[in-house]
Amino acid sequence: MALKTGLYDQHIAAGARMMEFGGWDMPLQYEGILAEHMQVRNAFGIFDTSHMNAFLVEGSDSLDALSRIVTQNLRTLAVGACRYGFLLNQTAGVIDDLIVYRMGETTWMPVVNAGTAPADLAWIKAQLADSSSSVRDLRDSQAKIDVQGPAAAEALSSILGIQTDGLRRFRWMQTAIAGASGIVSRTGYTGEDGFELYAPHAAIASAWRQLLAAGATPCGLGARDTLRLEAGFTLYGHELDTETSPAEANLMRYAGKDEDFIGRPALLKRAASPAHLLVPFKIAGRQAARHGQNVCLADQSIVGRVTSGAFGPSVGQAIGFAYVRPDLTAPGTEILIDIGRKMLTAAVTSLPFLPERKSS
Amino acid sequence: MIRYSKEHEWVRLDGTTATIGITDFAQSELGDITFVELPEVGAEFAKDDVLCVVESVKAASDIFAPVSGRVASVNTSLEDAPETVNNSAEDEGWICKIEGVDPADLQDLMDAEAYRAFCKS
Repeated sequence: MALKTGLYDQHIAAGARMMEFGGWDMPLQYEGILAEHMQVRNAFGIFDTSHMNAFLVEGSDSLDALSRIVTQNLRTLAVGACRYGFLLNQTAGVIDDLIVYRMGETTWMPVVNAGTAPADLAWIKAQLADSSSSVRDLRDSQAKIDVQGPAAAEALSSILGIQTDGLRRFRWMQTAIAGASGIVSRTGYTGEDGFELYAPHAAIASAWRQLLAAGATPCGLGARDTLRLEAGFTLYGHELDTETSPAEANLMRYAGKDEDFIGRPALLKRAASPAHLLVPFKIAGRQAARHGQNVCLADQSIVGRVTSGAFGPSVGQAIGFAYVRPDLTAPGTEILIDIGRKMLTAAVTSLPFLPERKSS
Repeated sequence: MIRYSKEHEWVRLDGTTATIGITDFAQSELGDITFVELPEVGAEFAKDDVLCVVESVKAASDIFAPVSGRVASVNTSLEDAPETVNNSAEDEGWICKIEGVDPADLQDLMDAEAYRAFCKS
């Protein structure tokens, strides 16, 4: 039985088509994936992201203790900022990717994926066992929605009365959200300007209602996926899992701190001689490759595997990610993808898929 | 005469030529259609063969030939505008015309009323 967020009834009332994701019953789409995608690119859209899980880590030695567990450099992370990184196991496999918010000198809020959250919490708890720090689940006390798109700041101001002027990317601020105390960070997963809002469940439900009443476009996980793929963002369970490390995923910039952390020795070894590497690819046409399909060469030899693939609505052609042999990563390299009845010709490309846009 | 298959294709028979597409119910279930892999003109299909593929944002779906015959023409406008299938599944969003059709092939297909009931079941 899939779990339901506090906004479930509003999704059903809005006519959402639901899907199971990470153990949660979530909206796949409302009006339609393409319309929702374009609304976020051109104006703004809103997402229920309450399936994601925030934790609170605190304790006098939490800086040292948490630094051992995540790849983020927490020592240079200011209170009021947040940073992307990973939870790695001893072999540098990715247990999860996460954003850590520095809430205070010795208080941190890691935000993780839905499906991995229970294992993440158990892992963090176990690693903190010998410290004087603790971790707790914030699931019961807060929920989250995302407001994303070039008009997101204006929407927060005009609809919810939240002024974000001066709030930079990967910074957060405390503010009133629908009358309750909450947090707004200038972060997201769409490649557009945008915000994530954390507040008590009732306040998030009220904010969502106000946004809908003002005409905001609710967006489902379908649009969230095409938006993140076009933006070149990896998705846990596709590009990342416990078999892959940031080295193969070309994400070493988020795991490069000069300090020991769990998985670092293995990570450095894997970075020195990766077995395969993640590449973005483009297909000349609309027909998409899909997760799990084999990447081949002209002689039919299998040289990789697709991790994500879809028609990119704003790119106008099919795009995706694949792990391939390390000698096949140069942009322009031609690869074939076995989609079953035939081979699609794709070209390794470089990120971003979309032209760079202005951001705040 | 229009008939409907359990695989959610529609067939409009005109003499021995059948126009084929997916039903409005099918396009609604699939969501936004981003690509239609049209069959080749001249290709022969037996009833229930995979005729072509329709892709939505989330998945690729096989479309099965509801009748046997040879592809006489295909709706090339879908190459650049696959969304026509969403907007007009049972008219402008037709996929192909198949010639040399035996009308007996349509006997086990449903009429509009039976298909409506089938979609609700």
